[in-house]
Amino acid sequence: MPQNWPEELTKTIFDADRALANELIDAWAAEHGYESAVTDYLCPVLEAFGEAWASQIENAQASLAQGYVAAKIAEDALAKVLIAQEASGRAPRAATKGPVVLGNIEDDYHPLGRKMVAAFLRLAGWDVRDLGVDVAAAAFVDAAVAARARVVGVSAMMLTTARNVRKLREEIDRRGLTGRLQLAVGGAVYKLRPELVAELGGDGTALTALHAAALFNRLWTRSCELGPAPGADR
Amino acid sequence: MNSLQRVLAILKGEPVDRPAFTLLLSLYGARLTGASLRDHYSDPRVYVEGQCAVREAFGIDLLFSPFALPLMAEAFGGTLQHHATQPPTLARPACASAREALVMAMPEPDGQPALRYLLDSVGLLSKRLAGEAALVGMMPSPVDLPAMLLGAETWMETLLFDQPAALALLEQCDGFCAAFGNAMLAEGATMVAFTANFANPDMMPRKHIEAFVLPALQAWTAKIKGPLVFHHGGYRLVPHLDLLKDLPQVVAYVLDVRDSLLEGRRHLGNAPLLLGGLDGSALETFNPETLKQRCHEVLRAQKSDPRFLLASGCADIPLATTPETLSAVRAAVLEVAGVAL
Repeated sequence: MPQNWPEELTKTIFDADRALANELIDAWAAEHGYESAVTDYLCPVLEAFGEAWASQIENAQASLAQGYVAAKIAEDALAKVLIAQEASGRAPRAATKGPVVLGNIEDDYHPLGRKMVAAFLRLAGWDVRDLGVDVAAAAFVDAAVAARARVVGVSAMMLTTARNVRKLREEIDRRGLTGRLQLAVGGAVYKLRPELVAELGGDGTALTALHAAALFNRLWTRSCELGPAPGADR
Repeated sequence: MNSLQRVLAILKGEPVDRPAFTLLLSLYGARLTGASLRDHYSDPRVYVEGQCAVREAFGIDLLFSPFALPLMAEAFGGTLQHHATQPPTLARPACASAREALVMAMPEPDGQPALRYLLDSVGLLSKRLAGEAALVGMMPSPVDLPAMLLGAETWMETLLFDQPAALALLEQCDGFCAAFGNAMLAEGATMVAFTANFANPDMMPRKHIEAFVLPALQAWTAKIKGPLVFHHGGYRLVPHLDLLKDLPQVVAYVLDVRDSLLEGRRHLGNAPLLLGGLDGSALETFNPETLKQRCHEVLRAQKSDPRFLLASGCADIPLATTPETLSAVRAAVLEVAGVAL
């Protein structure tokens, strides 16, 4: 049993040691259960890791892979929660926020960042509808309206594909959903050129995948202030 | 002094008649010829016409073979997505796992149409340039090639969580990449540029890089029978040069626009050529005047560096960039040299 649970788990993430992270989570769960392992142990550690990771990325001391390992650990932990709930005969852990829609914009085939965002959003309790890669603007809005989602998160890696985000902005506006359907944008290109967020019509972006949950909270609240959910009036 | 002589002189740190410069206009050739991107990226004759048009229009000293690394994926059985405004991208990789890739036979360097296209682009362009300009062949290193075979996520996962399979795949890719790099040189490339994003600590943890990614990269570069250029591939290099310098055969580095050229020189010493100063993907946001000003700033800052070549880094310069803007780079270089336009 470690003396410093949070520090030990944080270290496994920086060391990209998924196996040891799982051992620590299992050890916590043996005492407190897997739901507690996620809520009371992993989530606070990931929140702190996110801040440290962002600043270390900025200073070239952390890697994308460490964020990827964190996302995998989150997925592993959520899977264990589901298994534990099934084994105990209780209802599966329900999402408490959302739904929200995610996808890579039309012509973009770089799923890594989007998958990391999906993992962290799910860990934070969001109901994520992941549409995959190369998603047309209309398909994003159709999915959001069908699910009554207030936020769409769209990922693009390159400048050339990021330009297609403008089509999504236009589609949202054309259907009269401005403000009620918030547009979160992310991907490598926005780190190089942050001015693109506004230029392409994004309502916000996040520093890292781990900061996506806070961004979605903010955008969801803003949407609620501006009217009913898309599709709620149908 | 012609462009090739100028580039070779700069490589040796010898005096030149004017600063050398280049722009990554591998894609842009299609705008000048009006060819469809499908033809541009499948017919070497079309590609070469585009590069000759680029050379004529903008006077760059160093040209590039197609910067379309996913074509390699197609040669291994992957599926590409073709686009109207950018090079093809990988839509579906050939293999679902490293274990699957390990039982796949590696092709000969010229054994598939996509590979033949890449090599013929070098061969035909080299003949057309006839010693007038330098030519760089572009390829992924063996630490990046697996991302073309498996997709970047699966390759990252393999490197992180299945090191025996990662090592075996690195070894398998080493032979192919050595043969391909040497084939590019044999076709007439002055140098071969490679990406090694999975050896970059912005992408992978240092301990993995030090343990087995960097040794694989070192082993491969040692097998190349000519000069190599380390291309930043969209990631910063300067903060990591303590790891990434001193690779066998590497004579030049293309730095990211976020990298400090002066810091880069400090880390690398006097020997290698440094390329950079301009963010290729952002050039469309400049007008001719602002770009000229930017070039002057970079050239002024690098004035005392005899082994500097003004270059665009990052990905291909977007098609939407105007020819007038691109012409400003040459204008700035000639102004610095005091040459009448």
